[in-house]
Amino acid sequence: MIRSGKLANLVVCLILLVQTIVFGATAVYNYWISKQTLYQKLEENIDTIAQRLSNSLPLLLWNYNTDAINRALETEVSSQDIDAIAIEVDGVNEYQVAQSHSEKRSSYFLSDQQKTVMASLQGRQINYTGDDGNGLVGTLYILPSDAEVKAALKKLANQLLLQSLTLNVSLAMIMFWILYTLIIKPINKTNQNLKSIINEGADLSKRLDENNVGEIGQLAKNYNQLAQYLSAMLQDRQIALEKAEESAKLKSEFLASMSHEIRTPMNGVLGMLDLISKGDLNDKQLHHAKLAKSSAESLLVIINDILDFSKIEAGKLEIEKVDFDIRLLVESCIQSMALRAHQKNLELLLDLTTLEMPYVIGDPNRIRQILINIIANAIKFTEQGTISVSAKMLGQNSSQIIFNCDITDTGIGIPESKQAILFDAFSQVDASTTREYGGTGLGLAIVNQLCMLMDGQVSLVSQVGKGTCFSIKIKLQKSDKITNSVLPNDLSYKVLVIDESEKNRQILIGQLTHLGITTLDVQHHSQAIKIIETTTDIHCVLISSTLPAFTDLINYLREHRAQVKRAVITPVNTDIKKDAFDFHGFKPMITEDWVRFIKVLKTEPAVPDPSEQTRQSEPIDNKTHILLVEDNMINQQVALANLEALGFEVDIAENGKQAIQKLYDDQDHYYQLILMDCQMPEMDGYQATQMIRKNEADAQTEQGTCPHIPIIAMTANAMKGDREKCIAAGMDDYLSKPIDPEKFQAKLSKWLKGIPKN
Amino acid sequence: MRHVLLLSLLILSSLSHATTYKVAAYAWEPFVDLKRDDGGISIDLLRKALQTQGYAIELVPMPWARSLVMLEKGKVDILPAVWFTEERNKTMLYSERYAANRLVFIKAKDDDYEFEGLPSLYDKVVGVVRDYAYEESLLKDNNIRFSVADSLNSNIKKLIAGRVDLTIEDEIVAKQTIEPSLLKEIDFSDNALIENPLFITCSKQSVHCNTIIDAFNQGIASMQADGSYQRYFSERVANQ
Repeated sequence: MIRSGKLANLVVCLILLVQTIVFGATAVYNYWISKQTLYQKLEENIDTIAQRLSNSLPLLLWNYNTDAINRALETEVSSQDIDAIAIEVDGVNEYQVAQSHSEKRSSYFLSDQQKTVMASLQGRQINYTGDDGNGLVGTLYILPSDAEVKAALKKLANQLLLQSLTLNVSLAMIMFWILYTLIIKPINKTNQNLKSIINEGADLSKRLDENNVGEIGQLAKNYNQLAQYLSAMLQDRQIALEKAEESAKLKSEFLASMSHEIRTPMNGVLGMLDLISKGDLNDKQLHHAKLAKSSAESLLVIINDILDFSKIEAGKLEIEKVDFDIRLLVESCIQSMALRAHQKNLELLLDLTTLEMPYVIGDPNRIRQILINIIANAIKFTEQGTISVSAKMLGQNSSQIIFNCDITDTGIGIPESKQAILFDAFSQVDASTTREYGGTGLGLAIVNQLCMLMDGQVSLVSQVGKGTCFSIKIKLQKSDKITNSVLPNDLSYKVLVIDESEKNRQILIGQLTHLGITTLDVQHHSQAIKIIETTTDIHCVLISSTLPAFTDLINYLREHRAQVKRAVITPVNTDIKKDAFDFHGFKPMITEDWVRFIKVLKTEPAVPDPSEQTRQSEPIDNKTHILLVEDNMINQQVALANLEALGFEVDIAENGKQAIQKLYDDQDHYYQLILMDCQMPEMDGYQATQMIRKNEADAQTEQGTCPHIPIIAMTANAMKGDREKCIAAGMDDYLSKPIDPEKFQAKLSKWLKGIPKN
Repeated sequence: MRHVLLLSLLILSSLSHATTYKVAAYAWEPFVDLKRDDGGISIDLLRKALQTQGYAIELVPMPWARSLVMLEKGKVDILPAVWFTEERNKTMLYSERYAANRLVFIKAKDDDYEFEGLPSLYDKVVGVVRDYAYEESLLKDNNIRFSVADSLNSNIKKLIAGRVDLTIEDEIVAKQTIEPSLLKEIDFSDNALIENPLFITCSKQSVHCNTIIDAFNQGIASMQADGSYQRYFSERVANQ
């Protein structure tokens, strides 16, 4: 089957058209010529017959030999060419014979029509000349019959029509076949091949037949050359692509190794600086050591930023999807930034009142990174005033929610002209900013990229001199994990809030109202005293330690209203006498603080809870024994210093084998936690952990019981996948080097909780 | 008065220019013979007879069959020599007989034989011309002996030589055909084997029909009366 495109149709139509015209004209011409010839022949036949009759008739007519005349006429009239013959004698049709159509015999009678036609004909005079006299003996009329001619013409017309049609169709087919074979088919073939190049992933394997005639052959040749050229090009490209991929992989590997290589000495530098500053130093030396540590930390931040950015650029950064408590996450971010803010005498406000549905699915670490980055930025660029963080959920649908967090500062602001490029890499507001505030300029670029990776966005509203508000929106999935709100909403206490800051008051009141608590609020201590004096059912006063005459107010309360509970919130860097209060929380108040606050509200008044402790002073059992598995001497020293500072007893194993040996010797389960480096000689951390877990399982089956010892990995490999690898090996948690004392402590607290004290 | 004048004018013109009738001249020697100046015996007689009555004739040559049609159509007025049939009698008006075709027996001058029916031929040798159509009963009669010759003159010579007793021919034709020297040596039987009288006819449709026939009859009668008729026959027929 011929698959014809438009060209083929056009060609067929044109061929048919031209042929129809040519054959039609030829047929008409032939018909016309034949008609002429036939009529001429008819005329000739008539003439011949007339001539014959002219020869035979005179004598017969002379003799009035009627029988003979009739016989002669009958003979002639039997010719197909004659319709009728008549001989007129003296003005009368003396003899007449008509072609009979019904019988074999001729009819002797002319029809009226025949007579009419006959009358219009030119007669031939028949003269007799003989011995016995001469004269006009009659006039001969012959009425020709063109029935035969007409039939012949009809037959001819049919024949010509059939012939034209047959010729037309067959010639068209032949011409089409020729055109199709020579031109259209090769073109179609070329088209198909081109299509397969375009549509089917550049199939360049097909070649065309170059043996075609002329231009088509040339076309095929050119196509083949093109295909060959493209094929070579593609191959080159493929090679180049492979090379590029190879190179990217190498780069990624280089980055990982760089990160390891840089972090290890950084770890050493930081650890040692820490140790130095804890040693016996004079003030100047201490100052220098702190400066050095601060520089090293800055360097670490920069290195981390570059590493993250490289990972994002290389597309190596993947977004995790795990269940986590978004409220806790935000709070922990705030907590970690609180000190920095308070050191600069900045208010750090947190409003999570409307952040419901704490459990979501997403990547907590990346969200933390974003928040920390923006908050750190805000703190950095704000000299005085407040940093307020408020978070809520937007636009919930069946499975997705949008986490929205606004971070508003009262900092220097960002000029509008710079806002557009703010999120580009390596850009800061201007070079002077870099000089004044430092930083790589990668922070916001990373934030932007991370938000985009999480189907979100970061935007900002800013006014120079007034401050900036960064707003992040990130798409998260709903978690199946349902937690009952830790905070009740049916508390029927009355609380007086005393804070200079209007905003702070509002946030506190918002949260308290959310708890169901009735609030009163005042700005100054004098107003507060007035209210306390007039209002009898005040259950508790919530006082900001930044309030002027704070101590006076406290004293007043202790003396006059001892039954009213005293709750105070302070910046994190503020120390207060704890026994003067029923409750002490740091700004900003987080859920945990609220839980404690509620507990205080509910307890019987004026009996301070001796076990009441702040988070930071929460002790870790200092008789806890930890096995540190680390081959690098500097890292050993850093970890050791950190652990000893926290009051742990530490044993050191230099590799996995030693660690297993020590555990084997430790039948009394002396060690309560293992810190495991991953890359070590002899036996690495993964192998060691697998062995330990195997031994535990064996002991379980033999003795029926064997405690699960928590193993926390310490690795300088900050690349993705390390954590999974560690967990897969049987470790419980993961710490990336260099060790951050705060995180370190948090991890240890987490894993040592619930372990019975010795 | 005017009518009288017109009539007299007509009479005058008819007197000065004799009325001419057209005669169909079909060749039938010796009665109609266009090779001769007188046109043959019948024509000659017709002309003479009508002349006595003041009419002239004009010969229109044509074959016999045509003459019948022409007469009917009025293209000719007179057929000069016609046998009588009942059929023709219906459309044609016959004149008195002016001659006859008599098929008679020719005998030697001194022979006194007379034809008295076929038995009178039983002891005779009859000379006949090859392929001539005679009376049918004659040729079929086996009692008669025939001698076949190629022409009448051969038979006449045989007759004179005594090799045949008789021979048969039309009397007038014989007189016209036989050499005059031989004619003296022979004689004709009085009784004819077959006798067909000759007439002139006109078409009964013709207005001139009676005029012509009357004129002819009177012409012949006057010729018989003054003896020119008989003289014509003895001179014109017997002596050429």
